[in-house]
Amino acid sequence: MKRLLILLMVLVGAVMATAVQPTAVAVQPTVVALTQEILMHKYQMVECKANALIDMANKLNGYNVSVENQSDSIAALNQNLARLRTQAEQGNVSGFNIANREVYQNMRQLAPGLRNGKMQMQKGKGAGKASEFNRMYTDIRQQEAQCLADAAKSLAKKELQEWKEWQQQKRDRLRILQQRNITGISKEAIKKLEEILSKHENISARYGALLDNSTIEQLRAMRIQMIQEKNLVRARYEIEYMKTLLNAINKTASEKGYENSVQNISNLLESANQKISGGYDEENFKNAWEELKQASEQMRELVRQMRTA
Amino acid sequence: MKKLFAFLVLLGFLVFAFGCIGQDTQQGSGAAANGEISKQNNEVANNQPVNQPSAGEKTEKTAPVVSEDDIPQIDDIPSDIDENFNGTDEI
Repeated sequence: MKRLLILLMVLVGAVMATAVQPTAVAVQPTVVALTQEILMHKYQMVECKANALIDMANKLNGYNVSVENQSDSIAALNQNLARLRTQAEQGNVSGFNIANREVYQNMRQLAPGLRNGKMQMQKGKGAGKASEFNRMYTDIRQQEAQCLADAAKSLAKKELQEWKEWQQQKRDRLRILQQRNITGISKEAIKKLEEILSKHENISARYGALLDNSTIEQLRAMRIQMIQEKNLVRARYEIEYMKTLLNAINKTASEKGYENSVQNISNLLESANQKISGGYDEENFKNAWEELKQASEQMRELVRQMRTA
Repeated sequence: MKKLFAFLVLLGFLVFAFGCIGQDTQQGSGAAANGEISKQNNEVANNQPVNQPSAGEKTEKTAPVVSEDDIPQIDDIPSDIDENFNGTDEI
């Protein structure tokens, strides 16, 4: 009886140990899934444009109008579209950004040949087929517009969801930081961070209103501008957050002889701040974001070293 | 009968041991991959930071109060740099 009881306990233990596992990794897949969904909607928008261009090239060929660089450009375009889709499916943002750039380059390469082909058709090279071509061209453009409208709406909804999750996550984290009463983190610093978060929340609210009340054309026209505003606010928040933490570890770091590390991190944050202070510029922002990444990594390394020193 | 019983005990033990190892591995890798996010959620759920220094660390004068997990992860942002090409609008 005693042995049977031991056996039963071992088995119950085994079942419990197995049953607990899924909860341990339940959070991250949601975040990854959201990134994947956003990238997939972005991919769909690119695909709408690419399909329209490829369709147009094929239609022009049907009228015996050749399109310069057609086969090379379309082959490269299809190849990079497949690459882009793979990156989106994997939720790989940096890989997606690289492939995205290539796809747009391929589309731009194809554009002059198509423009030329369209002009030839409209000048009558298509043996009186100009009006037929124009109807066909209008159809392609309408299909493309519908495709873009659907994708843009879905993308904007997902983006808004990500913005709200981001700000909630930061609010929670900030509240916890405040509760810990860490020496060197002042109430003013927390207040400043809260103000930046409020700006992010304000942008989200405006994006939500745009999504609810505007036409798809208005949404598409405003989307990029709002994304840029959001990116700037996020960069400002991360800079300010890291400055706050750096301030908190500054004294101990100096005592332990890590003044140079602190100075390097401080310089990176200041440089990033300079790059975004004049408003949004894609290249400046990209460089500032890279500096933020470096600052974050260096600060993590510094704290690790200080802990083990 | 005794052999069968011994076999069952061994089987039970093995399932238990592998179950525990699997759980540890997943939690370990999950925590590393989840980084900031899982920590935050744990912290929010418990209403306290997960990475508070332990009692031993607290008494150590030189330990930093800010931990590695306090430092934000800076993730890549999807680029919109090329979206000013408007498909057939450009033709």
